[in-house]
Parts: sequence; C-alpha cells; structure tokens
Amino acid sequence: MTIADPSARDWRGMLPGLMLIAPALLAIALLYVVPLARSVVFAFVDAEGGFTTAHLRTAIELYGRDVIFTVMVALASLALISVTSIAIAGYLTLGATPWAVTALRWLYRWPLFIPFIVAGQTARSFLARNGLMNSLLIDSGLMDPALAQSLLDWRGLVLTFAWKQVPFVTLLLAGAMASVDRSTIEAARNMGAGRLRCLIEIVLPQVRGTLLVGLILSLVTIMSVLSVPMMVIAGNPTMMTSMMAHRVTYYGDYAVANALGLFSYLITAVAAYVYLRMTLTQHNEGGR
Amino acid sequence: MGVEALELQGLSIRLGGAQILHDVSLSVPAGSFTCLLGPSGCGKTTLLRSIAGFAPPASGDIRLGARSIAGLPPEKRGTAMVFQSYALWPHMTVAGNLTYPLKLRGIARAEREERAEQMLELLGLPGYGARKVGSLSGGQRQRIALGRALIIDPPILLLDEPLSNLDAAIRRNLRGELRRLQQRLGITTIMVTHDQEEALAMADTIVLMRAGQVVQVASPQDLYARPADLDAGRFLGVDNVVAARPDDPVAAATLGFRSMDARIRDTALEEAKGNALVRHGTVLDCAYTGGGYHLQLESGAEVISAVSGVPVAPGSQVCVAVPTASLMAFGTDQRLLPN
Ligand SMILES: Nc1ncnc2c1ncn2[C@@H]1O[C@H](COP(=O)(O)OP(=O)(O)O)[C@@H](O)[C@H]1O
Ligand SMILES: [Mg+2]
Repeated sequence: MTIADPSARDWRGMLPGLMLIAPALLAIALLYVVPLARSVVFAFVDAEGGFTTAHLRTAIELYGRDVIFTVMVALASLALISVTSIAIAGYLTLGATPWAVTALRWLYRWPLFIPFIVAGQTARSFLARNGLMNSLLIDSGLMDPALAQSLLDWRGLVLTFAWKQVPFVTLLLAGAMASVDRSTIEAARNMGAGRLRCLIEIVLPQVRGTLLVGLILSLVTIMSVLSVPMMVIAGNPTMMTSMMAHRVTYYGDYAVANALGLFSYLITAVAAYVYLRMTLTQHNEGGR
Repeated sequence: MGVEALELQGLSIRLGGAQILHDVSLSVPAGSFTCLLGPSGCGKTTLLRSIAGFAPPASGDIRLGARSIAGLPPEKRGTAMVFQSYALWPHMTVAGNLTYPLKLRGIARAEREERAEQMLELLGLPGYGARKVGSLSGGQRQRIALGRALIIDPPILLLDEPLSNLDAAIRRNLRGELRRLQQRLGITTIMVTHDQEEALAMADTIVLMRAGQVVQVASPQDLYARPADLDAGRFLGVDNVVAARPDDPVAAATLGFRSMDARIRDTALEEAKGNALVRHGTVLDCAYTGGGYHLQLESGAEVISAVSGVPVAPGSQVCVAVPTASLMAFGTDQRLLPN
C-alpha cells in the first residue's frame, strides 16, 4: 500500500462528503427514484417478465382521446390562469385606487385554503344545468331559461383548476412584481406608456421567470389531481388521472395504468425541460 | 414639440400624511437651465416628481407653456425625466431602451432605429445599440438614460441628481458635457442636486430649497455672493460667522465670510482697517491643504477659519483681514441685509 492509485485517493477524499449527503440521497432514491423507475419499467413488462409494448398500445388505443383531452384541458387552464393572475397581480402592483387594491389583496388568496375535493364539489353545484350560476343568471333576467346549459365538461374543469390555481400563481407573481424596481415602471409611464402597456411591456418581461415557475407547478398539480375530474366530469373523455384510477380500481391493471402514467411524466418532463433551459439562459445572461 | 416654459403656482404636496412641499411658486423660462439645490430630504425629488406627475399636488397648479398639466396622468404630460437610479429597462438592449419611447409614439421601426443610432452618436456611444443594459458602466448608463429622455424631443427635461452616482472625475466631465448638450438643444431643463459646486457650475438659475420651501431664486453669482440668510450662506460655503463690532466696515448683527477670503496678515501691518474686517487671534491649528495652509484661530469666544500662504506655528498671535467686498451682513433675524 505504498503506491496509492490516484483515483482511489480521489475517492477517499470524497468519502466524508458522500457520507454527509448519503441520508438525503438515500431518501430521494427510496422515495422517488425507485418508485418512478419501477412504474416506468412495469409499463413495459408482460406477465412472463419479458419486454412488451402491449400496455402502451392498449393505453393509446383505449385512452388516446383522454390523453389529448388532458393536454388540451391543461393548456386551456394554464392560459386562463396566466391571464387572470397577470391581471390581478398587475392591478395589485399598478392599481391607482388604494381601497380597491387593499380589498383585492385580501380577497384573492382565499381559494388557496380550500381543498381540491371541496372545490370540485362546489364547482359541481355551481356549474350544473340547474346549478347556482344558472339560477342566478335566470333570476336576474340575464339569461333565457331555455338556454341554460351545464358547464360540467371541459369548461367546468378549466374553470375549477383556474379558480384553485390562480391565487397561488398570483401570490408568486405579485411578490415578484412588487420587487421590480419601481422606477423602471415610472420611467415607462413618464415616456408615455399607459398602465396596461407598462404591465405587458415593462413589468411582465421582468417577472416572466416567476410566471413560468407558477405555471409549471400548476401544470404538475393539474396533471395529478384526481378529485376534480371525478367530481366535475361524468362521461368520456376525461382526465388521465381519472382513467388511471379506473384502471387500477376496476381491473387491477397496474401495467396499463403505468403506461398512462408514462404520458404524464412525458408532459411534465417537457415543462421541466423548458423551465430548466430558461433558468439557465437567464443565469448565463445574469452572469455576463 | 417646442421648448416650453414651466410655471409652478402655490404648489403644496402631502405624502403619507406629512406636508412635503409648502406653497412653492416658481417660474422657469423656456430654454433655461435651472437647478434645484438643497440639503437631502428638503423635497427636491418630490418637486421634480410632481412636475412629472408622480406626486399629486394637494393644492396649486403646474403649467407647461400655455396649458395646465397638474391634472394629467404621467404618461400624458410629455415631460422627460432622468431618474437618479437611471431606471433603464433591464430586459431590453440599449437600442431597445432608446426606441421604446418612440414606439409608444407610434413611430415606424425604420425611423426609430435611425433616431436611436443618431442619439448614440450624440451621446458618444456609437455601436452600443445591441449591448445589454447590464453590461454598461455607470457613466454609460447615465448617458443612455439621458438619451432615452431626449429622444422624444420633450418640451422639458427633468434630471434627478443625474451625476451623483458617478466617480468624481467622470462627474466633472459629464457636468460640462451635459451643460453643452443642453445649450445646443436649447431644452428647458430642471436639475436636482445637493452639490452646490455642481449647481454653481451648471445652472442659469439656482432655486435654493429648505424644508419644503423655496428660500431663494437667483443666478449662481448672486446666490454665491448674496445668500438670502445665514443658513443659505452656510449651505453655500460661508464657514465663518462672527458677531459684528462697531469699528467693522459694515454695520450688521453678524458678518459672514468664507475662509478662503480670510487672509492672515502680520500683526504689525494694520493699515487695512476701514476697508476690511480685522480680527486678532491665537492660532489653534495649521494644516497643509496643497497650495496653501488652512488655519483655525481663536479670537475671543469665536473660532475663525482662514488661509495663509505660509505655515504659522500654533500658539502664535496673528491678525486676519477680510475685504469688505467678501463680507455678508446679516440682521438680527439672520436675513441678509440690503446694501
Ligand atoms: N412617498 C412618500 N411618503 C412619505 N414621505 C415621503 C415620500 N417620499 C418622500 N417623502 C419625504 O419627503 C421628504 C422629501 O423627500 P425628497 O423629495 O426625496 O427629498 P430630496 O430629494 O430633497 O432629498 C423627505 O423627508 C422624505 O422622507
Ligand atoms: Mg432626492
């Protein structure tokens, strides 16, 4: 043991560090990586233990429409969430009526504290054909009773997801907007930009990273919530979560459920990639 | 837009429950360079912001040319302000910062880009258009902020301590540059500063402010030679204030003068009496200041600062003389006496 191998020495140098992070690594491996890998692997394993794409094909055949539906609902929800939270956060930042700003600041947060299952149930009784919304519209004479229709389809999902996620994204966004250098806003107004242009052309570009984070976290939430589609939507197509639960509870078919899960991973992985790329570009620009 | 005059009439401003400006009236002639001078916290920035529309007046009027602008939102006023922090838009390039005000005015892209090029030329930064704002030095940012304000050809230019964030050397350069640019463009300019030297060097008219009020409006020469009261004098470098005596050449309660006007004489030579203020004293301290010596001397109960060409040993008895022309006479109310 007189001539030490350089690579072995490197390893020995790293050992204390490795031991320090070992518990964290172990927890991540056991709690996240292993189950994830297992579910991915099981999507490709047949009854005899061999490789197969049969589950994937079944999933696409039976649930292809649901996958597309899920993507469309998620995109529509994200669009509605962005527009609404930009509007609210923008008003909180640039609003000229102090009492309205204060009122809004207190009001916008409360859906944060309502669980998804309650939101789903509320949406169900609010958006149905003879639900609260239609009753209000008809009673106030704003709508002809014959025109009343149920919104308990993709629209109900989009509205419920947005209702639940807007406060969260607004919270992030309003915080980021509040820390934008105020004089950059004043400079734009001084140069002739109205409030709306200020919001879109000066404030928003400075907080777009935060908006993206909010939207990606919302996407992951939308992809994983089971209670809302179960409550709001009766028929087909529906969200993938609903279908995965169906597959597992009624058929005990984990393989196809895992294959469906694969699509969820893919969708969120795309979002994660976009996010990482963007933060890296911003980081590089900041470093320059 | 042409160059326009600005008129403030009885302007009062309250912010967060406190009265910041008290009944400020001021008229700024078209094409002039006016400095708002005063100690920190006296309300200079607030006054400038109220002209730009960021501090609503509690009472009074602001008129630009023939029209009142006090009721207009900032984006309708057409004033161009350069912020103390420059407030460049970090998500845009240098050219983006310069062209955005033109875009807001609906000017076509080709013309916008051409005018940005010309402006960069004028600012001495040709070829900087594609740069990120974050990659500029302080002085360069300052110029871009100025260019962004000038590019819209505004009727009035408002500058909030534009040079205070820069190194002394760059500051002195930019001072002259800014003044020449203003004279070349003939644009009505109001500049805020707390630096009396800067105000004296640049302004046509200086507006001296204190605690939210205008104390004096005068040309740099007048302000320097005849400050309105003792506090104004102190702010403008009058560092000696002595009680007047009957045999002094000017009748007053107190007399003020700057130490550079107070010269040490030999005690023997006392022919100066009659056209100079003369005091005897003991030298407390003598410090070399480059080119001369700065003395502190004790004369009775008063301490006087003076300058001398030669060193004087502490403890020696000297005589200090100040020519009558350099004396400022203040009354018992501390206001300058008419002469
Ligand atoms: N938004 C505000 N609310 C309350 N007080 C303010 C506000 N802005 C400035 N002030 C106060 O007004 C006074 C004048 O401020 P400012 O105009 O910035 O002074 P200066 O520019 O002369 O240093 C200061 O005492 C400051 O604390
Ligand atoms: Mg200030």
